[in-house]
Amino acid sequence: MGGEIVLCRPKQVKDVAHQDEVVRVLTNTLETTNCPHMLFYGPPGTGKTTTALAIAHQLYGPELYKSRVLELNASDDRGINVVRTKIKDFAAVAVGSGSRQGYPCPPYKIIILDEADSMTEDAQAQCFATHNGNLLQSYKILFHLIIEPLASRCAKFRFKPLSEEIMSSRILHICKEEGLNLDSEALSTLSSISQGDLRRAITYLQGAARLFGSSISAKDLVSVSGVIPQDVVQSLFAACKSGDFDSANKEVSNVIAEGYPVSQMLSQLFEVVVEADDISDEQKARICKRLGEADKCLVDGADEYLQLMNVASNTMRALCNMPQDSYE
Amino acid sequence: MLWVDKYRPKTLDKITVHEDVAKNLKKLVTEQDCPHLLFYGPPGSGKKTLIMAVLRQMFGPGAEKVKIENKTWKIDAGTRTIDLELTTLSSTHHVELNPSDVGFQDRYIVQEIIKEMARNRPIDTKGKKGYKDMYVMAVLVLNEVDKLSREAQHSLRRTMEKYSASCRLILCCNSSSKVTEAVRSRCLNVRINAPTEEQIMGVLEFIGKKEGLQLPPGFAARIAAQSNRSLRRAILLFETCRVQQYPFINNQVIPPMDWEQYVSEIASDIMKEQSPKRLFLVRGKLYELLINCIPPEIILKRLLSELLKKLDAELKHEVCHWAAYYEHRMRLGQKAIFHIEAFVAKFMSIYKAFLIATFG
Amino acid sequence: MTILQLYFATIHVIASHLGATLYEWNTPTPTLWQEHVHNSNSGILYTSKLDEFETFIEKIRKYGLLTSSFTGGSKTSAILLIDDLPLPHGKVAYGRLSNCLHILVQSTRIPTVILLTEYGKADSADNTTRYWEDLLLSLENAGACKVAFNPITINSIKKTLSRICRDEQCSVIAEQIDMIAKASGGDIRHAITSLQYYCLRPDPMLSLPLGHSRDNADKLNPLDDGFSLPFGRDETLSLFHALGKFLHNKRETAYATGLGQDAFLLKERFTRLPLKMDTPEKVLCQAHGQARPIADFLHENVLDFLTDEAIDDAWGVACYLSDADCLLASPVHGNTFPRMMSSKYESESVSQLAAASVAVRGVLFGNSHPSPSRPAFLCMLCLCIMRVRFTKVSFVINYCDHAGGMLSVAQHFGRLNGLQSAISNFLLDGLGDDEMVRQRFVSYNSLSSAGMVVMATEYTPILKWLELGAREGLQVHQKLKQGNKKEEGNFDRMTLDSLESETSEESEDDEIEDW
Repeated sequence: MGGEIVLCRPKQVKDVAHQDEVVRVLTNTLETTNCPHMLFYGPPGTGKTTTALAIAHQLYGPELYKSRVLELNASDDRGINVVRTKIKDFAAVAVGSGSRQGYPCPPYKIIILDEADSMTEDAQAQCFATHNGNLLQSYKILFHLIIEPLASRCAKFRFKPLSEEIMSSRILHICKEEGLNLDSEALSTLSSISQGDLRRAITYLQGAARLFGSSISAKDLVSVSGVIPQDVVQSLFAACKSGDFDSANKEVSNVIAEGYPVSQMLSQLFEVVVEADDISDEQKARICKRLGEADKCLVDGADEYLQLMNVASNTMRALCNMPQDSYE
Repeated sequence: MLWVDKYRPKTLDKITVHEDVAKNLKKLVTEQDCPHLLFYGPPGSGKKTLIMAVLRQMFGPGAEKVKIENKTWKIDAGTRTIDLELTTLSSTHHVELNPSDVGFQDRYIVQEIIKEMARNRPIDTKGKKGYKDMYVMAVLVLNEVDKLSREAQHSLRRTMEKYSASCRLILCCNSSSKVTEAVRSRCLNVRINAPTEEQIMGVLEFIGKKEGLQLPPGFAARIAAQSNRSLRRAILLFETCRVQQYPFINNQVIPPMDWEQYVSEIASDIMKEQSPKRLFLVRGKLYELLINCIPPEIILKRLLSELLKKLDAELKHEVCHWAAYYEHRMRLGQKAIFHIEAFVAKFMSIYKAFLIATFG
Repeated sequence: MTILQLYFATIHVIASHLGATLYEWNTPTPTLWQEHVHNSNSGILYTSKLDEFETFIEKIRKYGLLTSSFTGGSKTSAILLIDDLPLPHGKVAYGRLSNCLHILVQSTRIPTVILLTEYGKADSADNTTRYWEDLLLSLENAGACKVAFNPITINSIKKTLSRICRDEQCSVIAEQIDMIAKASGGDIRHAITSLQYYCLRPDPMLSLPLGHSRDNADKLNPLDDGFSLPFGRDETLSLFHALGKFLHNKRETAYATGLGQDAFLLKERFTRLPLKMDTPEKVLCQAHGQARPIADFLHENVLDFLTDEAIDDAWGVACYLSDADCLLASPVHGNTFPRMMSSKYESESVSQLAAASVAVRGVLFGNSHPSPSRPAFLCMLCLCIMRVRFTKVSFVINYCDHAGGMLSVAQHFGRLNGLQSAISNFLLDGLGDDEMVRQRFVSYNSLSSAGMVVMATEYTPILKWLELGAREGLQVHQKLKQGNKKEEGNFDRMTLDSLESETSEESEDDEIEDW
């Protein structure tokens, strides 16, 4: 698993796609080989881990990489004990400087903590206590989850979401390397369903390639990604517009029977509603309010059918200008 | 043996309802290293059948020789050890279990079993003749992953990567929105939709032919219509009808599930009278259903659909809203009866107000 | 009717006056139910206090005070004192006790004093008071002489306290004595103990000049509270009494005057008459109830206290109870981020308190037309049953939790029919872990396992139709069980115990229903 994704990672900081500012600053830093603690943040799949790994590679080269870099993944156990022992042990052994085979090999080590925001608070606190190694953090959107004392010790780098063109060019590059056939429709579908998350795009591509072979159509990608085909969403929306409760009920039952994930349905319905030209802002607001509530309920584990039904009924009332009920 | 099991297709080739999925899975399993798989879809759509067929494709008939075990795991959780019991179903190649059975301690089970499986991986590296050599690794089938706690799902994603060299996971659940993104993205997601009524009719006719039964016209269609697109239920109903009366007659009654019958009685109780006394009566009946292990959310959904049948369109929206509201509360709370009862009380209150407004 | 309080002191005074030796019945240490359950495995039989009392009376009748007079020496007269009578539960037990006492009164050859303490009537939610009245009557009929003790008036308590203060030379001002006397509720022993305790306290007030202590007393004195009293009479209510209060929802018939002007004006449907009780939280606190059983109990019983028309009220109450249930469960959720772990423990107790408060106030507020006293008897009945069952049923429930908790019998807790059917269903159908395991593998011929939901909603009904489930399934299960001897033994024992407790409950139910 994940083999292809690793293969596709650029080995040089300058090759990291689309993060121009970050790359510029980092390249300067690397030339002096004097890097501060760094904190990378931004939405998933924008190249944070890739950049961190690239820095490590550029500094040490393949030979010293193993001994100088400690990589702790989100999937590793990162309670306070791990941070205390592993990082300490790793950082305890001092290393000398002196470049080797064209790599600068500065006299410090690098620790990469992936998805630092999912670490426990205690463990984060421990992090800056054992701060004598060099620390590279790459983590997700939840910036506030990093405790302040840790954040203030780091140089922060924000990673932007990737634009669609960058995604496409990157995907095409991967397809060429892996020998996959992708038509233009499939390509645009892929970049839209992955919502600027390159990792997700690659995962879908990989899944589709495994299941359907080397020539992949847009339909294959949709089916692998769990995205609901647009016509299903549209027909539910149309049923809501019709104002007939029973036909909406039938559509909802159908969505459930087809096994589409309702959380996905909600987000696609949301897009449809927001983009629709023929409904007023107030109607949109009414619908979106309930969409949000339903999404939260789903997270709490509420029943999918009932939540979607509630959304559909509410949408219908909003679209057909039925009176807003006292219970809302 | 029930027909459901008797006519369950054993291999991927024989699967008729999800033919395309089966074909792709076969290609996946035979041609290359199989990734972790996540099957999701409504109940009775054939997830289990597909999983069994995939296992057979991987390991040959050996995968069908299973034994039931009631195992106890001793788990070292820091300061204390926890004893956990779980019933598993296992062959030499795979283990199947419902980790959500142990409640909130599910995360321990998942880690512990995978660790154990990785430790005891089969040493015999020669594959069976005719089956791919690479399937020396064990397969763990986890049911109802959507019911796993968030913590368990987190620990699952960790274990999935750590032991991916020695074992493969096949996950099975009803709704993939309750599985965390992290787990989903590490699996190949396979959506299994419920079979259409035509497909169900096809299967029923096939079974009828095999059993040598005469089906009156429209009979299969009626069963299919009553099955809620669940193939399992359709076949079970079919067999019940066979036991009840054969030869089939044209307008043979298809018996409803007893609990559904009971729920519809409750619904008509509610429609007849709206008073605290009646509410008390309804509560007794709800208890009866709960005692029989009918899950509360299913009771609520069924009750809603029974009530909707009898309502005017204008009330439907509001009732629907409250059903969703109280089902959510039920998830947040501990005792389902409180919330179902609140729903019933609310319904009675709405309905009574409606009756007074309409008829004075 | 007559309040009987025979004090030890009086007996001692009489005894010393007559120069007689006082003999007492040594009451046995009570056995706890859990202890009994524990012991029952080791073969120790359970003897109730009543049993022991009976044997004691038997001995007295046969041998008089032979054994004791042997050690006591000479021929001084003796007085037999019987305090702490066994508490009879149910008709049969009461019959035995009264019979026993009757025999004692008729056959005794030495002066015998029997002490009966009557607690405040309001406190006894059940019908024990009636027993005592009957008992008294039957004793009088048998020829006993009744000496009634009235509660001591506050004035005489005050006098006594002042005398003690003088004798002990502690400076306690009159107001404080007054308050202690009032708080004691006519119980002189309590008043004296309170006084002693109060004098022991290193109270800053005592060191102050007397002139100032007056204002200070008002400010500092915790007595006004009546609630956080360190030495008042124990204000504890029985839980069932408190719950009864909530369910009955007694209110004043009109607003108290003077409150109307500055009170916030509410819409009519939100206004309620003032409650005839303390704030609900205070009552709860006095009853030492836990939120969960309180919510359950209120849920089980509240419907009986609504008028037939009031379905809107029923919804209101149900809605509040649903809120309470969510609050009760809340600490488990919202636990997504590790940082919340630390605050988990504090928030738990707060949400428990809030849940109890929501449940209670919801019941009080939601029931806007408290029904007339119709269900009073039913309620009493329920309360009694609850009391009898509390310990035993929880045993069954514990077992259920142990069994994997698929079946939450706890949900069916309380209500006569509901509980009966819950327990009987549980036991008769064996619907625990056992049954689940059996069901799960019944039809599949062990190819794959099915989810519980599918089992319950699809297979079970069909198998009932087909009538073949039991045999085949059992075989599979037997095989499974053989590999798990330990398990089986455990289960059987549990079943036996639960059965036992059920049968004993049933006999007790019958008694209760007979009244």
